[in-house]
Amino acid sequence: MTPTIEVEHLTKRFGHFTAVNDVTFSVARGEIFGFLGPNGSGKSTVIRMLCGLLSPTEGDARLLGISVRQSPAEIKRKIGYMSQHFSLYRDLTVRENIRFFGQLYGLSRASIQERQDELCEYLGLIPYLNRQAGMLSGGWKQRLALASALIHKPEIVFLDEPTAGIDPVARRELWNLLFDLSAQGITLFVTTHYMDEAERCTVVAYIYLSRLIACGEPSDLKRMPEVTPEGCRRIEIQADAITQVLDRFRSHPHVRSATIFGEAAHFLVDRAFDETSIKQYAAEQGFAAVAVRDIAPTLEDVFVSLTLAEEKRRP
Amino acid sequence: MKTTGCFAILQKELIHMARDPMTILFSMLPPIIQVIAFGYAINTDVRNLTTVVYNQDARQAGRELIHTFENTGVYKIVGNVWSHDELIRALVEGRAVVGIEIPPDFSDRVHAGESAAIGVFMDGTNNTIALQAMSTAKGIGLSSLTQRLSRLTGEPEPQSPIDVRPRVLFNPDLLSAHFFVPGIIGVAIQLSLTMLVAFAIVREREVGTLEQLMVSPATRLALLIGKVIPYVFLAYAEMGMLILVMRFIFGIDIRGSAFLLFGLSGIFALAVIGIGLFISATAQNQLQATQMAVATLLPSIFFSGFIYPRDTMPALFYGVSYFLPLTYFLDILRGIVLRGAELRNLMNTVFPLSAMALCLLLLSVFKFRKRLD
Repeated sequence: MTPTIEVEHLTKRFGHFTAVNDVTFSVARGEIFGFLGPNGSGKSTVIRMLCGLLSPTEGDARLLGISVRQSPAEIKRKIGYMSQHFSLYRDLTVRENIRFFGQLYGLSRASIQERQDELCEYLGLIPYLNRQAGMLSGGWKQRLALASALIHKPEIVFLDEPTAGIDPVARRELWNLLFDLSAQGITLFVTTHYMDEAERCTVVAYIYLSRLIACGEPSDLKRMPEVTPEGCRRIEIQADAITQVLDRFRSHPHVRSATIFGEAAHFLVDRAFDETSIKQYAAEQGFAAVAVRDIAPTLEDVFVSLTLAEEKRRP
Repeated sequence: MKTTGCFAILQKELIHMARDPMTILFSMLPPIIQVIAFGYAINTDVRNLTTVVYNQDARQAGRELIHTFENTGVYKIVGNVWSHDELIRALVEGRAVVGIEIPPDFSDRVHAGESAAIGVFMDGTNNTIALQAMSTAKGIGLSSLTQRLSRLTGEPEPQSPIDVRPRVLFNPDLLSAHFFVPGIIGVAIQLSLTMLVAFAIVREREVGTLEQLMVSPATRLALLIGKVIPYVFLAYAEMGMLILVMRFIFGIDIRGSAFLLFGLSGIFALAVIGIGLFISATAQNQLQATQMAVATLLPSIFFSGFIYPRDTMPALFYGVSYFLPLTYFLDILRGIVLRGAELRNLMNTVFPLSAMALCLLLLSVFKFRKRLD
């Protein structure tokens, strides 16, 4: 089966600046594709090219087999787009917003009505139909935005930081909706800065300084050799006064990197630095009752390691 | 040139307007106030100039002369002064703009048939006023000559070898309101329309809805047309109201065809909408858009011939005036309203205005397209 989104050597240059450099990946139907990377790394340029807003300098992308280079207008009919800012009309009611986007996509009056009923039922928007969009709370605004993005039954939906600035409950509800859509066979292309959201994606891609430096299922990424280099392991240390522990351990020659994780600290250490020597070192430094355990890397560990490795590789 | 989504955008724009009638109201109201205020305030009719008199000759000839001055309506005697220094001081202090000094031997010289000199001093700070005061004063001198000749010879006042009979057409009372009011209509429409159009799109950019529109299959052309049509109608509504103000407050009738005036106004509206769109494609936010709108308005006000006649401008500014849509629209407005011009009389303004409207619209569509890339 051909992938829903197929990106090949996609490159975009603005003058001398290369915003996106030779990016290749593909997304299968119904996948939730998490697209991550720091701000300014080229994320939104990729999305803009995939949505047919920008034309690639080199390479191409095919969505549902349609080339963004050749027929960007055709692609626009097949995709939905939900941006990080609430980009609907605040002074229009929920109904008017939905209807407007339906008309914009050239749907007939009857099919707009049918689709509106269906979506509002599904998203629970019916009680708010006559309310002005500006009066809705964050989570409901996002539902409305989703309804507007889905009005024309797109097969691919781009969600640019859909959960930025909404409360945790609304965030979880939105993700449940996304899983639902994915189960219906809609392909979701999501950008986010939240690692827990990235963990929920089927496939995650990480773009850094205009290059794609990782792409794969979260579990595969965690097993990448760059993430836990040869002769190293990841451990978690639990102790009181964890910040002081972190401080002391950082300067130990066997410790490669260290970060606080809530009540505990995560370390990347040499294999030679085993549990006994860790406890011994802790005791020497005056910390009693330290719990040490081996852990798998988190996605955050993955991206931090990859970023550092990439920085080292490039001048 | 597909216009998918044009109707949807048009409809949405109308909902915005209906939901926020205050914005519309506040964009329509200032032009009306402008027309009324400017129509009264900008008045270059020189009348009732404050005048002091230093009359050292209290006899009949002196008094008659002062009456002659007063009767022109240009001078208004506000007081007497008793020395030359005091007269100058009155001008310096601004109590008077004209000072008339009559020498002690004025009556004697008049009766003796000699030439009697009088001094007329005027404040030249405002050149319009000084010029008017000067020409009236000279006129009085000239007519006194013909009167004396007639008295000496006992014959009717002699005929000048060339009989100049000036007849003022179109604005017989030479009221400056007739010149300014139609002009302000043009200025007011340009100001409010550029801002409204620029805001309508810049607002969408600020809120982020423009991006949402761009990922939809609606074309840019459809977006622009859908956004602009309501404002064309608004421009017409405003024009209609301003013409009512002109007719009923200033008593200025449209001599020519109102139908033609409205038709040609549409071309001007399109040109101004082009400016507004161009601004909206350039400005990042509403503040910038306002500044740009004002920046384009100022040259229009100064160089279009709205206040100062174009013919008296230095070559550079005269050149600039050719590139201002308002220049042509003023010709059309004044032509139709005051002179009763017909389409065939206005061809040399209609063509450049249409060309300019077309260029501005194309330029802004182009700029808009580039901006989004």
